[in-house]
Amino acid sequence: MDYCLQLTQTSDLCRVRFPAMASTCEVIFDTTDSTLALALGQLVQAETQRIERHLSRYRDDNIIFQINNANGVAVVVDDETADMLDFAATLWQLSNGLFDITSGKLRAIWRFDGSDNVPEQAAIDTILPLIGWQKVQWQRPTLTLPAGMEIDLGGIGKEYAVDKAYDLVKSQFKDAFLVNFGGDLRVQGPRKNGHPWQVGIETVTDENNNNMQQQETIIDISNGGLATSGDSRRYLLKNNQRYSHILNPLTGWPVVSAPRSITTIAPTCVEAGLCSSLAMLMGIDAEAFLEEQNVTYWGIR
Amino acid sequence: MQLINKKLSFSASLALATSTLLGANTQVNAEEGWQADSAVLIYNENNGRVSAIEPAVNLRRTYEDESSINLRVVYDALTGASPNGAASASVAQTFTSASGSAAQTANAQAMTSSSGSTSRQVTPSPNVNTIVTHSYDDDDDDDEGEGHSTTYTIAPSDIPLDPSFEDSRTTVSLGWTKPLEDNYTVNLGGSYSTEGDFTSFSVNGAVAKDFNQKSTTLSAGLNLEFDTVTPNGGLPDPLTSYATRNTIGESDSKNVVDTIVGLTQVINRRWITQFNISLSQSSGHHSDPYKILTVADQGNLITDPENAGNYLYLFESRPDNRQKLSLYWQNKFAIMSNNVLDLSYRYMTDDWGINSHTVDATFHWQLSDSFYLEPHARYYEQTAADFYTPFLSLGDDVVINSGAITALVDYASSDPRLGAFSANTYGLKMGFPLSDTRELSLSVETYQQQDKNIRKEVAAGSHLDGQSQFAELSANWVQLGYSVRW
Repeated sequence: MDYCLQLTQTSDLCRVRFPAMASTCEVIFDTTDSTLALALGQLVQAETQRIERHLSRYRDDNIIFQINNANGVAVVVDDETADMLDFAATLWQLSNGLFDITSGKLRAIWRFDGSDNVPEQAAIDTILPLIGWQKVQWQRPTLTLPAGMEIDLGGIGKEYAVDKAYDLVKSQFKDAFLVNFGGDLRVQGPRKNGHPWQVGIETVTDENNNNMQQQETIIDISNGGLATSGDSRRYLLKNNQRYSHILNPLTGWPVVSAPRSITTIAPTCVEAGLCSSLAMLMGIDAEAFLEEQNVTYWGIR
Repeated sequence: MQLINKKLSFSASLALATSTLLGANTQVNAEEGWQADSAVLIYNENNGRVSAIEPAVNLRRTYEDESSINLRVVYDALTGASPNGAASASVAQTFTSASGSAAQTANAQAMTSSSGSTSRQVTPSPNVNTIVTHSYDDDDDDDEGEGHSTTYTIAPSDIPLDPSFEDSRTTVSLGWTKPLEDNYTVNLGGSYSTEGDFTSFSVNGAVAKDFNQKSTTLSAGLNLEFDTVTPNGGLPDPLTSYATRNTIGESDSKNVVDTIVGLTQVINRRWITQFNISLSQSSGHHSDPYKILTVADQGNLITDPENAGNYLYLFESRPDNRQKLSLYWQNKFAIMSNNVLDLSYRYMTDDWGINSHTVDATFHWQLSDSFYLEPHARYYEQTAADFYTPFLSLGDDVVINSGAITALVDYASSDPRLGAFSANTYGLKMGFPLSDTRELSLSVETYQQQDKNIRKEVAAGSHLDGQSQFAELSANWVQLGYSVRW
């Protein structure tokens, strides 16, 4: 059943849920004031929908569409988009090119549907020239993308929306709450009962004939962001080689020996999201990278 | 991997980039909604002078496109006594005012612009687009008053105060601000103020443009004001006998054109500075119809040749034009996380001979989420207008020939607001944010003037010998404010 917004009240909590960003988005409030929860939930929904409208690459009426269809012409972007681009540029540099918002083009040839459809190198070679932030001219607020290239802020959009939702609620609600957009979350605690929020994540799997048995680990979290990268259901399997859906923009190929998933905790959801995605891009070095960075994480291999 | 070589900086760099991303555009999408600020100000001048109660309501509606509409209503109820301009003397003086006293809005003398506003912008906003009109008013501007015909006697050595001062004033202001394309913001507004014998109508407009990613804002504004004064008992003929009370009409008007150019610059994350130049051209009736001057002969009061049994006092006279130039420099410094130091300086000079300096410091001290203190200190000083004099001297300023009074000067006023003085204001505001949307505040301020005029010599043993020549004003006020957003 389609719904716009769902409000649930329990004995000590209120929860608001709505669909957005291809996920179920929810905010849990440590209050029994359902009127307040509903009002704040509607604010969060409006803000989330605004961000989705603004930054989604699946629309034809926003700045991303303008940029991706500018055909080599410079586009002047708004402040929010400019901030995202500044952030993406910084991260591209910090990650030596592994985090690249122009890599979305690769999805045209890589379809992670569980099949064995691994593309030919020739196909990849036709796409690679259209990937690489270094080919982009970004002089805030003007972005010039070579014709045929595209940007996709999906890699940080949901985490960004979580943090914006958090800021919005925080500015108007003084008690504990949890923002959860499809597993990317940010919490404010501790709760009135003195306990931290408890979040369940998949941590351990046993692979028996591709049947996943998942075990849930409960994480106590009072403050900060949490994000998970990787999805055990999005992969290709050919000749017993498993191809994860994490693509290396430098080679055009899936990252070799990446973990199935990485969950990290950081002060904000954006940071948690970046740490987990970058770890995935490190492949075999994912855990070493996270250890080096002193990041709290849970990984599945 | 190479990335690991950057491990020392990676987390920190990511955190920095993230805080820029999340912090930078918190202001970008203004929340739609209402904000209401309400306040009651109780103002009291010492020595039984003017008292005022001023309730004020400010209502602001902000729209999603960051445009906003602002409505402000202020009501003043003033009572008390106000100097009529005559000099204090060693003999009793009796005055019969046809009109009541000089309701000189003495409150404006000491009150600052803080009245009525309870909300404080903790974060300096670079978009200071509104026209900054005179935010304080030590120097004279408004001449308005109302009262009842009355006779009163002033005891020897007392400052002549008209005791029957009563007035109420309502001011309604409406403003509209809208951000346009290309970083332009436009601002239009109007204001109407009325009381018994004085109405004022003004319209204003301003344009601002942001540069350098909104770190620089240039603005230009224009304010047009049309005032009408209709004194009780008619408009007195300047520099003629107070007791005779010749009038030159029922009412007169004054027009003021203010232009302002401003530059706001964000220096860094912790410092924002603003510089304004404004030019004000005022033409029309400036004299206060209720203000008079004593005429003294060698320091002695003299008899009005036209009205036996009365001492001679003349209605004051001011020029028909006034030009003012103001330079204003304001700095806001963010200190630690939530504290703000606001330092400003203003220089004003006009062609009446008044030059003034104002230094103002306010510190917003956020002690906790639910409590802040705001100590405030202000120093003001001005020189006297060229035509200011505590009294007129027979022979030098006024001659009497065969019973006819002739003034030798074109302009004269003893209004203390045109004299030389300095003034200190000290205040403390206590703010209690009750939640993120509601705030209660209480502020107390005290104001004290010091006479800076050169004393006019009088003969020893005369009526004016040893008498005060300037009525130093001291005042206190308390303001209770409440603001709410929804």
